[in-house]
Amino acid sequence: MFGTENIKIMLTFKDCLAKTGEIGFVEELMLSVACVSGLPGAHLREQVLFETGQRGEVISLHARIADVMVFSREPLRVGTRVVRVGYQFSILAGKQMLGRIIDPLGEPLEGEKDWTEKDMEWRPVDIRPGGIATRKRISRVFETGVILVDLLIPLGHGQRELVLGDRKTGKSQLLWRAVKTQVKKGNICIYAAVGKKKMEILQTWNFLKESGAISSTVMIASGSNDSSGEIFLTPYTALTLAEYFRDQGKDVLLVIDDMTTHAKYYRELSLLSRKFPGRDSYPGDVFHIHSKLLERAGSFEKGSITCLPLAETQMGDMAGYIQTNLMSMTDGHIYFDTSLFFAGRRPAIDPFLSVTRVGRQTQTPLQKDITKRLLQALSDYEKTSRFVKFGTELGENSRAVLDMGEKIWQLFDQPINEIVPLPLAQVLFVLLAIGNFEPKNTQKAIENYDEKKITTLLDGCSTVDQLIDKINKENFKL
Amino acid sequence: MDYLTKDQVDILKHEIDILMNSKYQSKTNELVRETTLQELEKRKGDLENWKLEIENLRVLGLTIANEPTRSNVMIYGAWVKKNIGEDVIMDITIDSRIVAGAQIVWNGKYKDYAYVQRLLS
Repeated sequence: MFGTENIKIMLTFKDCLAKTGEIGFVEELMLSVACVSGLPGAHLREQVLFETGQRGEVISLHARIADVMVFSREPLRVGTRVVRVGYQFSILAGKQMLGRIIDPLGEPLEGEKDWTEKDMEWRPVDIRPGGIATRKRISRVFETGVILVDLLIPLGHGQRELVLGDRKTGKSQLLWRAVKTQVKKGNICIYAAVGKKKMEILQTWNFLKESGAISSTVMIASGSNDSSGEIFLTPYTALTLAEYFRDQGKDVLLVIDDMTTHAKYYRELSLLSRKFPGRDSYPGDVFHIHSKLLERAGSFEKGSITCLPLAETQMGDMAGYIQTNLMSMTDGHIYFDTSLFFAGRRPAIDPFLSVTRVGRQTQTPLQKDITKRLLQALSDYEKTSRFVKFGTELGENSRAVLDMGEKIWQLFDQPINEIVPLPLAQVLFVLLAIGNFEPKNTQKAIENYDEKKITTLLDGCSTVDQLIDKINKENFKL
Repeated sequence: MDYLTKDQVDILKHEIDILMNSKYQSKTNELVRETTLQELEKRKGDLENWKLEIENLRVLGLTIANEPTRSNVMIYGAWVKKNIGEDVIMDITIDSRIVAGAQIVWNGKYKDYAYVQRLLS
């Protein structure tokens, strides 16, 4: 693939001119897209350098003109000289970036740049995803710390799970908790905020700092006032960093917040560079752009990249163009329902509309049994609730079903800072089912959580019945 | 034979544009206006052809250290016409920082024959 060879140093304008012997001139400017004449040897996706210091990337080539996506808010002038760099846009990646918030070009947004090229690697941001020989079956369970997700919609390390829902339904909070849980488990997190409001970026950054998750996290942020080019680049930079840590043998959680914004900015760039508009004015290659990007995540021989991309829906419409595209290229989705949110459920996830395609293969037989029983109990609860609306007098069994369903939903109700480890979540459900636990005591159970004690209890149990027997036999109490 | 540089060609193109666009804005009396319009109508094809020819001219970028005299331009122009093509015009830029010599841009290719490079190397 062009321009993915090892890069040693960042070249200057003069170096590039001497290296390639080609020059171009800005002929026309349309926000983040510059039409450049000259540069006869330019390749698609090649990095270019403007004499004023800005960097850019060739996004389309015409007979005499190359369209360049500019990665800068600084305005360019018509007539500015441009040179080819000879390779793709690349960033420095290294452990030094952990605990920092950077822009898509790899520059810190807060504090001084305290890293050098030494001990770091230049990595092209748009590489070809690893082939099948480098992939591995998803076999390890991925904990989010959210009971509902861990028990009902289980995820695996290396899974790509779309998080879908309207604005302000608690999607980001789920991801924050997932980040916190993964950092506690010693994994690396990369959080990409794509074209967000400055206030939203700050909120996420503050959460990461206050929860202590920042030590093993890199946040890549582009604000809505950044250039479209920088916003478009954000998930690419995030994936490049994720790949760097994966190659160090780490399990990485990558959050892309969010892909619909990314698609909107790509639409803007495409329309400006006169690409033919398709459905909803998105360019024809928007599917490929996203699928190629998400294909870089997965379970690999060296490590894994679990990707949780977000997609925003309008009025709960899951059938939008970008949303359905993303659904088809991920291994399932978690759906946040506005009506559940307004009904007071936190997280407002609809377990019946959510899907996990590979997560269940990572579960132990006991976890599978718990998931099955939970889904059965919730399904019975939903059916009986609908029946109650007719004002029918309820029998003993129906009341028990309703009571159980209420308790399960209470157990699922988690405040934003509450992280429930997966083994504890399993035990809590079983205790709840046999009437030995009240959901209001969840916080206390977390505080008294003894990992060794719970693991010993779960050892050797492959069904819920076996676990119940063991609990009764040992007279287990939290 | 006179030789036009890119700056002069740009002025010429601008003047053609003014001429082509001004026929409906004439403030002269009715008779003069009528005559001008008829004359312009006859020449309309020519003007459009000239404009097209100008737009299709190829440009050779040349950066030199000092303002060239008219005779210098003629000499450079004659060389360019003979060796590169009749349809090539020069876009001359003055940059005293190159000290002497020239920097040439042709079809996106860049050649640096500036004396400052020798001084620095």
